[in-house]
Amino acid sequence: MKNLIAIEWMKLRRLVTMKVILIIYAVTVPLIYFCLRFIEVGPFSMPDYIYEFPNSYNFVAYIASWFNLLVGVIIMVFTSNEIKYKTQRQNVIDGLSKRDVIFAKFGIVFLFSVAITLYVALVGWIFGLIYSENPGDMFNGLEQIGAYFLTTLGYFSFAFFFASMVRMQALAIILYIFSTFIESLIGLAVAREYSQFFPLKTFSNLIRNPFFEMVDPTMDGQPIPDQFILGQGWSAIFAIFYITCFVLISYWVIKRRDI
Amino acid sequence: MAEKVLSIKGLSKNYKDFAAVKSISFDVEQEMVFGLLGPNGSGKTTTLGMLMGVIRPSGGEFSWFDNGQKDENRRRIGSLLETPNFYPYLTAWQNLEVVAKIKGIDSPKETIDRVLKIVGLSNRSDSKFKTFSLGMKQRLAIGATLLGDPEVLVLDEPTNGLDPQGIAEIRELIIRIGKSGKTIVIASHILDEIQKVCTHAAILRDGKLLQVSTIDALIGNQDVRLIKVGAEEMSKVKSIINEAPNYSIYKEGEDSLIIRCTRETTAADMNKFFFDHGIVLNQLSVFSESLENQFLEIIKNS
Repeated sequence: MKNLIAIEWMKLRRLVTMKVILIIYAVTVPLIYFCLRFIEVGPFSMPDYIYEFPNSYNFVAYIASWFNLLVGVIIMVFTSNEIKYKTQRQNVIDGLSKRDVIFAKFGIVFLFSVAITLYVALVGWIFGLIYSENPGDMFNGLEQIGAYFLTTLGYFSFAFFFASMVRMQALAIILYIFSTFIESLIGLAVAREYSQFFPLKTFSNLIRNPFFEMVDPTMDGQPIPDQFILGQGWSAIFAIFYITCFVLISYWVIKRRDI
Repeated sequence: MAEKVLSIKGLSKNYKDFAAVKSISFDVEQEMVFGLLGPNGSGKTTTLGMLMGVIRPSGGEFSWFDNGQKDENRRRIGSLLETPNFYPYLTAWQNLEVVAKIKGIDSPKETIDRVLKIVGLSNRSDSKFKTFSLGMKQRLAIGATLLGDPEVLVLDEPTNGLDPQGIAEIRELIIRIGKSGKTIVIASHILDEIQKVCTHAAILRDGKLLQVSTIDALIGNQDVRLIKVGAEEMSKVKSIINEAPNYSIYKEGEDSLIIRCTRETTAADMNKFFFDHGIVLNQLSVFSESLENQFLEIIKNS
């Protein structure tokens, strides 16, 4: 596996798409977080506790999750390049098994999720250290980072799966970018409240919306409709199920396909 | 008996409503330079694709090195199928580094430098693949097949898209590699190419194996030579040929004829023949593409 990852890294490290998107991500996430303090809506302004432990982890993770699709484009381009340039085929001709091809890519997906999760944790930690009165709380709220890891792993596995199935790069990327939207439309049309079990919805449900929790749900005297919302724990189990499916289906299909 | 490098039994590939390869069987032994000869669409690439693990056979089996169809076998084979496939945003060197890593080559640096030198790309080793001309891409692909000194080379139309000089260079290279004791399997639709580099050949048509033999037997089979002649009075030339027992018309042109004759016939014989019949030729040449046409003859007659 170490060797497979080394091979993938040789290809990935020089991919310009990756560098550009990662720089955008690395700069924008902390910047947006930092700028939250300047938001004022009428009498309402952001309280300082959004930067304190344990909330800092949740806020950064939530903001970072807006960029999941964008970062997933790296995986998308990386995977579909192999099909477009027929290098996947060449890798097999040169001696990789089809299993190697799939698991090497998934290994990269996994490490990529680890890397950007660590980055998000770091940003949350630094903000927490600066703004918290009690830095000893730094280990609280780390479960939000764990949730963020699963979310990214979910989105990236989906990107990888999607790129492997839709073999035309341009079409695959466009469909991928609109996939959340498309999933919501399908959800509204056919599944209603069950749409929260859909994969992308599951991944996004993993991250609690900290802004939502700041607002009193009964603000205008109207209780929110009695809707069943999947908790984080269940979402995590569903997410792991979907991730496993994406990898296994990709493997199953490519194993049988002429490449 | 020489060791078997490759053994194929009843290999087939069916697409939905079309059989691309129909139960072919043959063996390739060590140190053979084995040609797979057939027109476009005869199933050469499909066959090689199955042997190289990228196309799933519909039936039959094959075995490399008496070791079945294991993925690791392919690391001992250098292969170029159809087009050169590389990462356009990586340099020639970096691309070969990826291949070397896949093949598990120990000291990639020296190997890559050596291979780039062999295919004459040393001075472009740091250029990105996307900046390469077609010929350079093809040479890089040949270079990639040589990485790690593989026991076997599998090449599909290796001179495709090259200019005449490039074609000559690549053929020279293949002959040299073949003489160094390596086994080579090479697919081509150009008989001339197969004849120049191969020791053995199999002929494919419509996915069927027509013939497997040594090159000498294959070429010797055909006692045909084609000679092109032209004269002022073409109608007279035609009638003379039609009456001659040893000659026949192969193809009629505007102001010339291609005549089919025995292999021993020389241009001098032909000239004398017409002179004896009172005709002075203003065109006379032993048809240079005759080998191609002989190959077409084999295809047509079987």
